[in-house]
Amino acid sequence: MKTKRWLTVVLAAALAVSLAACGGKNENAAGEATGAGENQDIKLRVMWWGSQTRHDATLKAIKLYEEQNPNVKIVSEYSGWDGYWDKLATLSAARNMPDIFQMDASYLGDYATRSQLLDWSGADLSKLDAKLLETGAIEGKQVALPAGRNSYGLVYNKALFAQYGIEEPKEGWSWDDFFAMARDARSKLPDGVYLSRDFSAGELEYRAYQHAQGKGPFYVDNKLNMDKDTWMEWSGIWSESRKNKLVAPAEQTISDVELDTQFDSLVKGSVLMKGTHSSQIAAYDSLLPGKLGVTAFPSGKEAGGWLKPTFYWSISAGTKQAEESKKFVLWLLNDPEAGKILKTERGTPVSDEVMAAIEPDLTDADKLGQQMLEKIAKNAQPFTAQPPGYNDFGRDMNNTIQSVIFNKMTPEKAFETIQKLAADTEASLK
Amino acid sequence: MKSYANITGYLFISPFLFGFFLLTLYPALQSLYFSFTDYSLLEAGSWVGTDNYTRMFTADPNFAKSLGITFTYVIFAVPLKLLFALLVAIVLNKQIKGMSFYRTIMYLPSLIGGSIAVAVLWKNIFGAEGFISKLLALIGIENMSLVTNPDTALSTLVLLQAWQFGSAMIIFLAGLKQIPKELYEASAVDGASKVRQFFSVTLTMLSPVILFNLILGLIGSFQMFTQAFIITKGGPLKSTYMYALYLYEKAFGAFQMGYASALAWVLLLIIAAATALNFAISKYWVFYESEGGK
Repeated sequence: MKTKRWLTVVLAAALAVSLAACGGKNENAAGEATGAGENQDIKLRVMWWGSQTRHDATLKAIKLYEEQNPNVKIVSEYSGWDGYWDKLATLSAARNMPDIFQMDASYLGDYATRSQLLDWSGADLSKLDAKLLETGAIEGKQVALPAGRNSYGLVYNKALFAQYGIEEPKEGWSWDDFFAMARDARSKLPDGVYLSRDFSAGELEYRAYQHAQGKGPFYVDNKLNMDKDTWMEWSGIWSESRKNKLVAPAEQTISDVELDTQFDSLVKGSVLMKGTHSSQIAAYDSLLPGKLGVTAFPSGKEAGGWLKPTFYWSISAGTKQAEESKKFVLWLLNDPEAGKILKTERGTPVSDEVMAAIEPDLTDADKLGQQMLEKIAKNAQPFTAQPPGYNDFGRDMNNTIQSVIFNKMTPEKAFETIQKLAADTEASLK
Repeated sequence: MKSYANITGYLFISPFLFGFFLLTLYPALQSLYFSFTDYSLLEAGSWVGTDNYTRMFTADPNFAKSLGITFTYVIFAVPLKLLFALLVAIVLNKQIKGMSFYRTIMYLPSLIGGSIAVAVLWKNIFGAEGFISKLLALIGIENMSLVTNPDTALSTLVLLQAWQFGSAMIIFLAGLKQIPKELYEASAVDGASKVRQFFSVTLTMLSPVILFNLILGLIGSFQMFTQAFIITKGGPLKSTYMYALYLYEKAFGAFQMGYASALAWVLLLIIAAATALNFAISKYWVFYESEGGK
């Protein structure tokens, strides 16, 4: 009898808990924070991904905004990159999207073409960098505002260059200079240390090379534009480099994890140079303080580097607070006070006024990123985002590219495979 | 009176029923419906009939590829894990001092084995700068990173699965304890060697438990996701591109929830078929004492 009563209590408790779990909204879940505000007329939900420093800076800026606008209360939801897109997609399916959220170029097309994003037309965007703004327009609609300026270039370990007596890259260097440097470096560097990461392991360095050879961007009019001769030449050079031990074997190249203290080859010192975004420079500097130099990609007939937005701010098409949401995002991008808090956390400010306002406060690490951006900006190629619906293609293409460095596929076969993948993707979109 | 008793019964299992209907049956039926649509997660889908299923079998190389990898994984991982579990269980069945301590130690990896943390740990041990890589360097094999080499990555995941033998081992151990001592005594009197006893007594008496573990292992391995997702992301060169991982990428990466739902239902059918097949074969090798060995 006693046991029975005891069981009843346990079961009743279990039932209550399971019911509560279904009904409750779990207001205090990790990663959510609410700001203080007495007059809560307007509530905005903002969601972003990033590191702890970004969370801290953004929460601080939000607090300032709430102080300036006491009738607005902002609910923040933030996490790392992993899981962010699962969450956003799920929220979208549940018609429960946040009003304002960070958006990335690789997902922008998918969300925009499915009418998930609010059109910014009518808003005053005059202070923002017009070229970057263009990249946030899909099918003629401005559905995303660039959150910061970014560029893709090279970062190198100055200290190791000096230690091994290798001359640092000069302004306006060419690909010939680069390969000459790699051969020269082989005789000076110890075993297991290489001048650069194997650039043929990923797509971005190839893009830079194709630009430099004057064969245009990787995507034109939302279609793949890969030049066969350039690709064959590129693959040939790197295959030769692997044979002559100018670069690391494929297994090592693949195990590189950007900015990981254990797996990043630049941080470990097994390569002296690698490609990266200028927005990552400050993070690299924190791992290799004072040791880094930056430069643009080598050029050929043309320049190789490009400017791009780090990522974007978008507003949900289903928001009930369109005007207030726009006002908040524009405040983040245009307000010098906000700029002073956020600094270059989302890339260099897209408004020149804000940039001028924060310049005196920048740290050396911030300035290094800025330096890379400026070097590339002198002669930048236009940025072309991955076309909508090409996420699968991007993954399969990178796999194909990696098959080449593992010698599982000839460059020629890889080129054909990539063309076929692109054709299949095109066909599936019709 | 009788109906009253029934209501009490249902009330007692209501938390389960509630969860089952709301969180299992309803989503399952919904996914069955989605599998016949082009639902994208971002906007409502429209009915496409059996298009998703046709596409899978006629125009999707990744379907065949990921399925092939998953089968390879299952074929190696499941028997290896059973073998490990059985051998360890036999060792732990001995009567020596402090045995429960050893049992706890051996079970430990399984408590934490399925978790993210162990996947990360595994990545470090088998990675380019990891323990195994350094160990191989000592015997002259340089630059061997097992998880980033397309030829060895899948084997590493198989090994991780085998290492989590704990729960299967506990079940084996329970099975071993059930085997009557008299059988060993009688067979010893008849002159059976230890090896003969193992095959004729231990394995035979244990066969229902082996079947149970085999089927649980099959179901789990077909759905393998965490390790492939964390350690290898399906790479290098798609060498660990598990079916469940492919399904996940279709759903959340490519926004093809309808197609992903169809993939899920095909996996369900495959698992059901594999299970049914094993039950069918089992009558040739599983011995049930209660049926008098019929």
